[in-house]
Amino acid sequence: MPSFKLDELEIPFEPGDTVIQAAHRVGVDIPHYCWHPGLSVAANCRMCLVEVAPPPGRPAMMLDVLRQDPTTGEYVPAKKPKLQPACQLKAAEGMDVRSQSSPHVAEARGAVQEMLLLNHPVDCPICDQAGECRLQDYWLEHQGTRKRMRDEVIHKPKAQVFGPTIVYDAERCIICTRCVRFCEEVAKDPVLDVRERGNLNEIVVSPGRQLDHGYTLMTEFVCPVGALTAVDFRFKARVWFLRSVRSVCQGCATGCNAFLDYDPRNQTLYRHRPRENLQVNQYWMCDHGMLDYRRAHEDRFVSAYVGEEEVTLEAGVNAAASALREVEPERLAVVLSAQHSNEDNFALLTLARDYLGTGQLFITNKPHGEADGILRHADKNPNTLGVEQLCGTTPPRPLQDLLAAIEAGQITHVLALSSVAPCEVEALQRLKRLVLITPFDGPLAGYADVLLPAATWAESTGTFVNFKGMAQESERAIRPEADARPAWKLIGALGRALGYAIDWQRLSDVRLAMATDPGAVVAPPPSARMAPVGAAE
Amino acid sequence: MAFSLNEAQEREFEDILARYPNQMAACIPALHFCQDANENWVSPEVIQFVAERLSLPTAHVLGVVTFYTLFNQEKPGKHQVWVCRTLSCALRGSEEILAHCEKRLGVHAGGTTQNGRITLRTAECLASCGSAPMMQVDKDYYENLTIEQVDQILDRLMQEA
Ligand code: SF4
Ligand code: SF4
Ligand code: FES
Ligand code: FES
Repeated sequence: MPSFKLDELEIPFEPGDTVIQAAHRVGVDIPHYCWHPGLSVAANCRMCLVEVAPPPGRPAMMLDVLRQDPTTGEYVPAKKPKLQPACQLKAAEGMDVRSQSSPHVAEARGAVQEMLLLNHPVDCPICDQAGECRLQDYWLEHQGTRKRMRDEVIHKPKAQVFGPTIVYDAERCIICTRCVRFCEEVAKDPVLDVRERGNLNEIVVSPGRQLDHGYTLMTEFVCPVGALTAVDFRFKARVWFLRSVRSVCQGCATGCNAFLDYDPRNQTLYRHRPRENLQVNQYWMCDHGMLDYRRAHEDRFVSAYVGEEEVTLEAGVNAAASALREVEPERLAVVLSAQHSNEDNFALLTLARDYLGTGQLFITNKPHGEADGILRHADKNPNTLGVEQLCGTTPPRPLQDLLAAIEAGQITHVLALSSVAPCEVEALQRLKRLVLITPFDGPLAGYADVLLPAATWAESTGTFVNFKGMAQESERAIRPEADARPAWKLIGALGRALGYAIDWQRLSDVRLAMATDPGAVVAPPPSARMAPVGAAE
Repeated sequence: MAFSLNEAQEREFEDILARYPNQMAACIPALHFCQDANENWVSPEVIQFVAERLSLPTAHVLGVVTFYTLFNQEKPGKHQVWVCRTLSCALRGSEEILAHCEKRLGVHAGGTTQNGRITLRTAECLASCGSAPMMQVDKDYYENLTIEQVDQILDRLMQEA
């Protein structure tokens, strides 16, 4: 592989790489605002300027400049080499690039910083981006000086509503055009552009339009400063109090890799944002997925119910056991769920096949919707393929078949995971008993005789297999609320209440059992680099 | 009200588009043409029209219009007068000419007379330095100006039918 020198490091590159790209790939950061690994090159911020040494034996091209003497304040003639933007500069074999080691680069970065902050309101205390803002990070690292401009700053519109999800502050905007390029290149809806010029520049929404495509929150995410803010997150939290886990989005079968940000003090989720995975979602997520984290706190069951009555978890498990004890195996059906992890489904499948002895296996899922040709998949369930793989050669039948069997009187008892359904489920009222294990309210919940409160994906670690067959782990963020417990744990307790020797205390116990079953896939630990809050691109 | 071109204008518009390798490249000439056909200003309807005809995002066309000062985002007077004030003209008395125009017309540079006939503007070098001081009226240059000549020009513009 060819390579070039960046300060003292040898950086390998692929043909066509720019200097910043090759460095980024090996984890070396060249300061930048407008460059984004997933977008076209605009080269407008000049933060990434580097010095390239001339070829051996040739003099450097020096420019005449005026440099301010800090002691006298006077401008005196000086020389500096012509610097080049690393985001646009193609890497070449043997190139000698100086980033951290060049005093000229340090001076240029300081100047860029000073210029970007000339008209900036410095309203960091009330800015959502504070703590993960490049202007802040780079000021400390690359400027560290006061601005010299004595004029009144230019004032521009603040808190402009761009659409239902995004608010724009023109005074904080550095016109890097990341948001513009994102809309055009990734969301395929060029609804943003730049108006005016120079220090009057601002981002504008297309006349007669709103910023309202399916990926609007990504514009906030790619904005390197606090100019674009998300209505959902505005003034809700200070990012330095948040912690992140590596989650997998539950919104559809694409299985976008994400960070789930939560506040450990109040065990509350605040944000869902993309985690780079070039095989799955690249750098992006859709709005639905980014807002889907809110569901973890909504429409929940956090205690057990027998009929309408709220009971202790123990009483609930016992009631579930007696409901299932009274039935012949051939009259009992078990419903797996495309909404739950491999671990949860494996536990249920084991209980059904190995202990309850029923072969009546079904699967439930959310109804399919639209795909958008970008990320969103028509299958709105995160683990359809995982459940199918678990069941091996006898795939679970769709829920519609179960309803028909109930109508025909063949099935009288059902043990089901999750309350979702792809269709109308009135036939369930003919059941003698429905035992439901679910985190959320949903179509099935109204028919449950016994309901056990499961943990959401945010409250438990599990494996989800996306439509490409990639098994991915989603980590637990917060503790299960009240009596909620991971579904596999509830299933184990139910098995023990039925008198079976199931002893899963920890997730690793379930995973150990899964290791002997070739269909039961456990995801390897998340591969993407762990980025703390704010460090994502 | 929607903006449209008549048949002859349509032919000319198409002719402009045909001269460029792609439609985006034709954006500025197309806007100039439509501005001329729309009482000298680029209304939101004109932006919409150009965006649709050139298959460009509306926001992009708006960006172009707001970038260049020669596109009027508001309706100007019937005539536009630009007084050059760059070095050569300044040395030859453009300041007096501008002051005179402002006084005569009762507006500051950038404003439009009450009767809507003249919009007065300043310009940077219009590349006619050898015949400074000068001003541009609509698409014509008036050079080697004296205050008397300026008066004659303004009189004509204010009075003509
Ligand atoms: S809003 Fe943000 S992303 Fe868009 S141009 Fe301004 S600083 Fe860049
Ligand atoms: S595309 Fe699917 S998996 Fe990705 S963020 Fe959207 S809903 Fe979530
Ligand atoms: S990153 Fe903005 S110019 Fe290179
Ligand atoms: S300075 Fe007026 S035309 Fe050049």
